[in-house]
Amino acid sequence: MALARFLQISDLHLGAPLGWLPAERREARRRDQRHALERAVREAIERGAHAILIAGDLFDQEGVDAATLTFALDAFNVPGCPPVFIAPGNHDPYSPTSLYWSERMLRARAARWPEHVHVFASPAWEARPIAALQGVRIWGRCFTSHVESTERPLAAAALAAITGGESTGFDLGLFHGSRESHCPPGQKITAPFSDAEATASPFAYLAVGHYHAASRLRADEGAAAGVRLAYAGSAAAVNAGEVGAHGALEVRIEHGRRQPFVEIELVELDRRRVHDVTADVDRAASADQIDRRVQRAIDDAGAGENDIVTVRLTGRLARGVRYAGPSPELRARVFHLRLDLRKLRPDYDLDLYRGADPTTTEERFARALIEQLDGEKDPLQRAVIESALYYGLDAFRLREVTPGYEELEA
Amino acid sequence: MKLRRLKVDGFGALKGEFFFSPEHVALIVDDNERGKSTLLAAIAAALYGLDGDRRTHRLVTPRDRWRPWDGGPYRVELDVQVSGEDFCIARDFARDTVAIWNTRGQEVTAEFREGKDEYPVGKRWTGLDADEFAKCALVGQNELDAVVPVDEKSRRGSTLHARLENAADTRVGDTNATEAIRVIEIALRKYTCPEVESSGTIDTALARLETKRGLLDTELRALEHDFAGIAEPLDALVGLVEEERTVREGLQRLDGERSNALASDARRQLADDRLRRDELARLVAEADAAASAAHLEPNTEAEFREVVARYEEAARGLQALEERRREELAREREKRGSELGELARHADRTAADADRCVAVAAELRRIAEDDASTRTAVFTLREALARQGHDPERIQSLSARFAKRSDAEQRLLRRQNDRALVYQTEVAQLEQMRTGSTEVLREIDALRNRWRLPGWFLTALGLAAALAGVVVQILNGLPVLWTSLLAAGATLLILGLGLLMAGARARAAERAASLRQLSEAQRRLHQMRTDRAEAEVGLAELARAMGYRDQVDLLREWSEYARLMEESAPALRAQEQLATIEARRRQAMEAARALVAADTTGGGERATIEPADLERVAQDIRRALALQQRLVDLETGWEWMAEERRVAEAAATGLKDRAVRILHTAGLAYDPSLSWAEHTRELAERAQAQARHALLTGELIPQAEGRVLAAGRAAELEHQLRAIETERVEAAGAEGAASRAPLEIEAEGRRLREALDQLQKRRTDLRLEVEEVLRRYQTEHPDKTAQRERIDQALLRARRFKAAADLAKETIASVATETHRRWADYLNQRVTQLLGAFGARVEQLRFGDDLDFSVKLWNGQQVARGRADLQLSAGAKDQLYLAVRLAIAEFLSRGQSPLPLLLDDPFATSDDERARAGMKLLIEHFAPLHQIIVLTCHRRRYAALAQMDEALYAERVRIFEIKTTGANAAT
Repeated sequence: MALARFLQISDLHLGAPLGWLPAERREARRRDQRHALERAVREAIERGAHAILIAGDLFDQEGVDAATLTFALDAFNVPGCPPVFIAPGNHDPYSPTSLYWSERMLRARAARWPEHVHVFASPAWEARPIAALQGVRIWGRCFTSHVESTERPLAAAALAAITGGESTGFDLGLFHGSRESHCPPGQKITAPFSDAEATASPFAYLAVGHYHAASRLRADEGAAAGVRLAYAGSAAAVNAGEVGAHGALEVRIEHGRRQPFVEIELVELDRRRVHDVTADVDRAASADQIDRRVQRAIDDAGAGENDIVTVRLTGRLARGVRYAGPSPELRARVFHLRLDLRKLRPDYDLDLYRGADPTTTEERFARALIEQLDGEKDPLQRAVIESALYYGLDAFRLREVTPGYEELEA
Repeated sequence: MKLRRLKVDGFGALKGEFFFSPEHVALIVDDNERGKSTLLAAIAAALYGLDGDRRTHRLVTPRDRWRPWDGGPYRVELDVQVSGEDFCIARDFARDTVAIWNTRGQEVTAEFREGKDEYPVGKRWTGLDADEFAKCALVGQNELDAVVPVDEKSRRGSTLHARLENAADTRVGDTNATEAIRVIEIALRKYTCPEVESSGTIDTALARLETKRGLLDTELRALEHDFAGIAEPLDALVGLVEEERTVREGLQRLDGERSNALASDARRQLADDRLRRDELARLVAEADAAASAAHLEPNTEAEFREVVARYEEAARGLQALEERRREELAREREKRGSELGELARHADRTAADADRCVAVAAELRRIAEDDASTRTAVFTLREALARQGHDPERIQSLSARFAKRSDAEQRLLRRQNDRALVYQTEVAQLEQMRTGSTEVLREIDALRNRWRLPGWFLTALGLAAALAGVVVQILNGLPVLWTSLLAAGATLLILGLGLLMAGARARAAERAASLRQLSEAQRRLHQMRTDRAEAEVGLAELARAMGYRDQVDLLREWSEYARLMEESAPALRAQEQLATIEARRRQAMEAARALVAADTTGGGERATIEPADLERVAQDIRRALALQQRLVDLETGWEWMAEERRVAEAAATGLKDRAVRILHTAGLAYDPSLSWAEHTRELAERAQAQARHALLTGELIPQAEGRVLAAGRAAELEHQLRAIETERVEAAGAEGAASRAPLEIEAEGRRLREALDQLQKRRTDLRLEVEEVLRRYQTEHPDKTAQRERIDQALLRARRFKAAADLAKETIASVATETHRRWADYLNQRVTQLLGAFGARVEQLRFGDDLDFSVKLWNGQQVARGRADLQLSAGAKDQLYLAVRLAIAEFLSRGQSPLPLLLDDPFATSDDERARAGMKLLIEHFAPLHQIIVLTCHRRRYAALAQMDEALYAERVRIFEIKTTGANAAT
């Protein structure tokens, strides 16, 4: 039996604007992304990987800056770096005019990818052998456009060309696509495939990119046993919603005389962790109190100064308390702090308005909007109605209306 | 909710206990300004507490407002009946405590807790918070005046309409619908949008945001368009790269041709070089043959001839110089010999002898001067002593007597006076010390005796008791008895011994110190006395030895002698100096005689020798020494001639050496057997060989060397040739290319280089153009995208705020109209009923949807509110207000536990008839539902009313008096 090792990464999104971060933090986060790629190459060398598989979205967009492109071209130019296979994704599709994939365009800028880097330049599956692994073929395909594709890469017709594998080797698929019914929130379906298609494909293992959260599909029947398909997720979190550790997958495939067996292991590359915590600020009577509770929630989650934290505030703030955001000291406790105020409500007991027979204008106003709210299904409209309710009550109770309920989540 | 009892231990100026009967109207009578309003506040405070938060009450908090003036307890207690159950609320505002008990005596305070530390008990029972309760249940006297204020400004600011609207619109806030809408409109007018730096209206902010977004869209599209437009230049760039590659290949081909030309040229140069090197070798061989004469200088022959001639001339000059020196020396030696014969007596003297003569002469002169000055001083001092009365003879006799005494005797005499003084001083101190120590010792002994006496007594008693015990034991007496005796005896014995030991050790350290001090004092006294006695014995013996009658005479004379010695000491010292000078003079004279003795002109041995004699001798000695020196110098004075001779000899030798050296330089050996003329001929032959060598090395060989290639150049050519041949092997294809002339090659090269330069320039321009677009796109696109996202979010927020605020505003407006209509309907009906019951002169009251109202007067006249304000009397307006308040209270407390109504002199401005009607209305219509508490200061009026409606009042009313003692009494 022989053991093939691969290091799989995807969705690094080099050159992303990172607009969700404050301007002064973006450069640091870009350095994190570069560091992740450098570390991936180092890990591949140290672990004796036979190849590095990049399942799309290495770059965030066509117009990456010259420094980023230079870095990427040079990142694999390391002694001992194994062959690198890149399957361009929907963010960095291949085209003859692509500034980072097209050899011709790169030559015009006096640049080129190293010899051991192979970029799949066709939307149809095509194979490349690996010199060090007899009988092993890396099959890849690319995106050729930014637009979402409904083409099914693992449909039987698309896979018709994949034949002639050696019995002692195996075929490995590398592509960018969406596993149906497992799409994380906020991501779009493109190049979809089903679990059944993946299991029925001739590939012993499918290294897939696009989803930023790591996931896997196990199957013990078909071309191989063990893990049949895996997303490595984003190598470094691209936004504050990508909770948890991020990195690459070490893929180990035992092959030879019997059915290949595949196992994977996460290799952490992102030096920062993304946390998503909830802080109950119910009855907090001042911004300082809110900050303290947020601080406690951060501490309880074990988040440190290098981490990216989203704190979801819940509860009812004392009437009249306005929370404009965390203090500079609190912000400085972590690399980036994002507050989600959508669940935060002012301290109005709506049940009272629901229960009593409304007599005053205030009560009848509240009752009218609560009834509208209860009858509304559209989340956006519900949010507007709820904001209107609180603004009206503020006007009656506090004689003051300050914008602040626009982030309510219905 | 019914109030049963209020106990006030201090609340403003109020103190006392008030009992209320829920079934009766409570009429509380008090003088004006005695605490009626305070009582209402106390009830509200018992139910809701008092706010002490200074942040919300900056001037004075309610808690401070009602703090008792006398500084005593600050406490109220209220008994309340709710739903058939009795509760007692006790609030201590001074200690900030609250306690609530139920009927069973259980404390139920915790059930009423709300928030962190608040107990709004009334809210639980009435469903109203403190403000709502005040609005519904408390009808203050002052409010009646404020219903329709007198002045126009106040009337506009706080009208009945406004109050009604407040009551209608909100239970808690003081904001009515109109104000709420206004507040929202203000928020819409002052919307802050930092993204576009706007703080104007929401519409302005939205417009600016949309404009900004449109601008960003345009900019982004422009960037993307520019970015998309670089594809064509990039294609052109790729084409230029290809062209550049072709041109570079052409240049490379030209380089090959140029290499061929270079190789043939190098070969030719190397062949020529080999021929020239052969010629050079031949010349070098000839030069080597003549090399032995090569070092011969061109003028060597002439120089040799000149040197030989000069040498022969110098040898002749040397002989003439020797003759002249011999003659001059003989003449000078004869002249000096005669002068030296005259000073022959000083021939063996030296310069040191002359110096010694001069020194002795100077010493003699100094001694003479010292002698004269010292003699003058001695004379002066003696004159002074004589003037003081000192007898020289007395001095001499005393000196003769005492000066020869031994040192021990003189020391004994000198110390006698000091000893007497020390003795007198110390003896007194030592006696005092001895007496003090004796006293201390005596005192300590007395103390010890005081301890010892009872000690001895107790010891004896103990021994006796012990003895008795032993005897009783022996006699087989009662064990108790002998045991007791033994124990008592032992105890007494121990006590006795303890006292004895304590006595023996009392002040032991002090006693030892006193003993040491005493013995020291005695030892010192004894020693001093011994010294004194020994000194006296010594003095007596000395007096006897010196012939004095006793030691007193001796000491007197000694004292005189000591004083005289002290006063005549300078004169004695001068005398001694004279003796010293005389000794010095004798010594100097001896030395002078020894020096002058050898001088034959001095006249032999003389008694005195003058310093001038010595100086003359010294002068003769120096003259003799000078002549001797000149004779010596005469021998050496001819050295100039010897020097001249040496110079001439050296010149001759040098010339000969030079001639020999010239011969050696020319490669010839000097042979003394040959004449200088023969040597000159040999040298001429050598000079000819040197001329040929010089021609070879100076001209012929350098010219030949100049023609051959330099070693580096030849190596370079060979290296170049090898490199070209190697390249030719590697690029065999280029070998076949037709060779062209170098000029053609250079022309072609220039053309290709120009083409390459143009291509590179175009490529650089194109690349700069592309890079600029790329740079702009990469720099600006992410920023502008992020900026657009922020603007989008701001736009979304602003739109949502506007939509929400508009919705709130519209809803309030629509709901308020409906609410006001309902209120108006209710108030129209109920207030009219109440006014009728009061007997007011208002026949009908009509509220509109805007809660403004008009009234129909008793005479059927319909007037608007403004005119009604002017036409109605104060009493009528108060009745109108009371009716409205009662109607509001009823309306607000519908569906809840009936509120107690606490009215502060509601009919103060009404006439008696209307007051009677009003009270009847309250008693008959409101009292069955609400507990009614009326406070008034019109005691007589209400007494009269009670008489007029005696049955009604007796059955339904309880009248209380507020007394200063605090207890109220019902009548």
